[in-house]
Amino acid sequence: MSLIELKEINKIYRTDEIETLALENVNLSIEKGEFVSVMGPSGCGKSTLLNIVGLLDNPSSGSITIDGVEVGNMSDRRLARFRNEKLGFVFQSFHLINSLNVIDNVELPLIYRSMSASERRRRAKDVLERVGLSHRMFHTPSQLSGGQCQRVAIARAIVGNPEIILADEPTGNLDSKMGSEVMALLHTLNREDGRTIMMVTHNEEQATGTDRIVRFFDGRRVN
Amino acid sequence: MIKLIFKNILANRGRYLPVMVELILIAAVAWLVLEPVIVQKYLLDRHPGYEPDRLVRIEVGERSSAEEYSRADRYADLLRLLSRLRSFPEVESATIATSKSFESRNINANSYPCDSTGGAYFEVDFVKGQDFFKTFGIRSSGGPDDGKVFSEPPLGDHDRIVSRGMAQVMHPGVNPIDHYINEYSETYTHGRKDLIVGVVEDAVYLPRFSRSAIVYIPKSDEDMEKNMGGFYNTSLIARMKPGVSPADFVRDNYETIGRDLRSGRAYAHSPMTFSEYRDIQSIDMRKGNFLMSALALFLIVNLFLCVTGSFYLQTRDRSRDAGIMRAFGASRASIMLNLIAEGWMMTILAWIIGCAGVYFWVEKDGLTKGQELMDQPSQRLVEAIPLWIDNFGQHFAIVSAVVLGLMLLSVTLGIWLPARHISRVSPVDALREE
Repeated sequence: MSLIELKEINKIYRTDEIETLALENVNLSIEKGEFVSVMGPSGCGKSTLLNIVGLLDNPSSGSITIDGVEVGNMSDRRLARFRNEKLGFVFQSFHLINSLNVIDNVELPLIYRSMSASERRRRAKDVLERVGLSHRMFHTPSQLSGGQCQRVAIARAIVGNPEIILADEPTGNLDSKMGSEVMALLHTLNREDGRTIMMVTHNEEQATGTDRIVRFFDGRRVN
Repeated sequence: MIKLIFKNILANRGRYLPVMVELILIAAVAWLVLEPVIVQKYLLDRHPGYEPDRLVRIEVGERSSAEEYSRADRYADLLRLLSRLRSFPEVESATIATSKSFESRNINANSYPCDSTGGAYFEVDFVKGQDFFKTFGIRSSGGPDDGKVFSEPPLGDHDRIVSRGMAQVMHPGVNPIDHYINEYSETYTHGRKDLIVGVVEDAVYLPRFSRSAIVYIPKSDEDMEKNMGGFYNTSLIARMKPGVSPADFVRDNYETIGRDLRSGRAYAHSPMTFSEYRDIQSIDMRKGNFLMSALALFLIVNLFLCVTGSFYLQTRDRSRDAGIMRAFGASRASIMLNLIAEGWMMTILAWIIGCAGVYFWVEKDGLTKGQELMDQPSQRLVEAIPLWIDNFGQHFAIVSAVVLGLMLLSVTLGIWLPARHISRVSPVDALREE
């Protein structure tokens, strides 16, 4: 069975005046340990897809199964817990909390688990060591470069040991050097840890380095 | 989680500064406004030592006539009214209350030698053999009948029943029965004639007095006749049977009492529950309390509006942070709790600062207390009837706790709506690229 299974997913945005079909009849399976890129022009629905897979948004119809669990009818609390345990997010704009320092940002997903403060701190330090930022633990996001911020975001995404990482244009706000560093880190997480990664990107070169490219156009999968 | 909240407060300290200043000011002002309200409310609502919730008070009037109305006839008619009142099926017992009784605005007091300054006690008259203690539900203190309704023994004219606190003041550490009221004072010139034959639980003569040392003075029929120049301030008190509501009795028998409870030129009128009577007698205290309570409410509502506005203004930034938290496993409830906890932390901090400021003020100025019969109450009486309002530490802590409770309630309600709004913003919308 696939780790992520999407069947007949549709997403319609409705306002008083118009209806927009963001995703139409999308079927997608992602196996455990795969590194999948999602590509397409702006507005084709790839970020929408990522948000639906990440349980941040609900499809208008269709079903989503993650690790054998149908997530369609879960309560808000159960969904939150599922996200916390199974998924890690990396955003284009990093989305770090500016009032917290690096290690506190990384610890954030662990706050929502029953875990002692010392254990949280230990795990956060370990992942920061892994992404090469243990010397910046007590800096705030405003004191870091873009690449460093994104590495902190990746550390935050993996601190809870999720099986799946969802990355929405992780190098979109970085220069090519920093972008390469971030991609190298993602590949390491995929190869060494066996984590499944679903990445939305505009960068053809980065997408080619992944296991599979899924292309979208006008809300429909085209390959 | 607490560290997260604390860091958020620190990071937003510039934005939170006006809210904190308001919180501190409200903590201090609310304390000063609420303190007398709390003390007055305590004095008004504490148990009076008898059972007003089972009592009905009926006034007695006199029809005018050209004929002479002798004191003996007047008293005889009063006793007949009392007897008829007792015949009502709802009435368990009834008695006569003179002008020297509970809730009388005419303060009837006497002094006794005590310490170096002397003390004062209230005098409550009761008619011998007319179920005074049974009707009011006043209980024995000490001895084999401790806690039971006081059973009036045969009484001589100079026998006295005293309240527990009074007994402790006059005869500390000994059984006061068969001792005299002024026994221990060699210099007291009234003579040793007032013999203590019973001790009852403390009661409240008038709510505005912190403590009431009471001496119950029995009156014989002869005494009553002699003083029956009129029915002014004389009333009948009826105790309802268990399960009978005094309010229902008054409602159901108002006309009957006015029509049938007559004897000679005496007639009963204006029945009311004793609780209602107590409220009327303390109307000045209640009015003052009402105004101060209204002011305190104004402050608390002001705080609610300030906090609501402040948090609503932060919706945009907070939605982003909430979106991040939701992405990493926070539920809506935990985001709301996070925001409310932030408000609580600020409130508690402001409360500590506000109360600290008030502490130095009231340490010099003093706290609100009830009235005393004498300017300086006897220390023995204060110790015999200890009240939390006289203990600085307890008093300060109780008022501070009430202020904190109201502030937390107001802040919680003020944050609730914006917090709910923030927690319900879709993470997708919150994290949308700008």
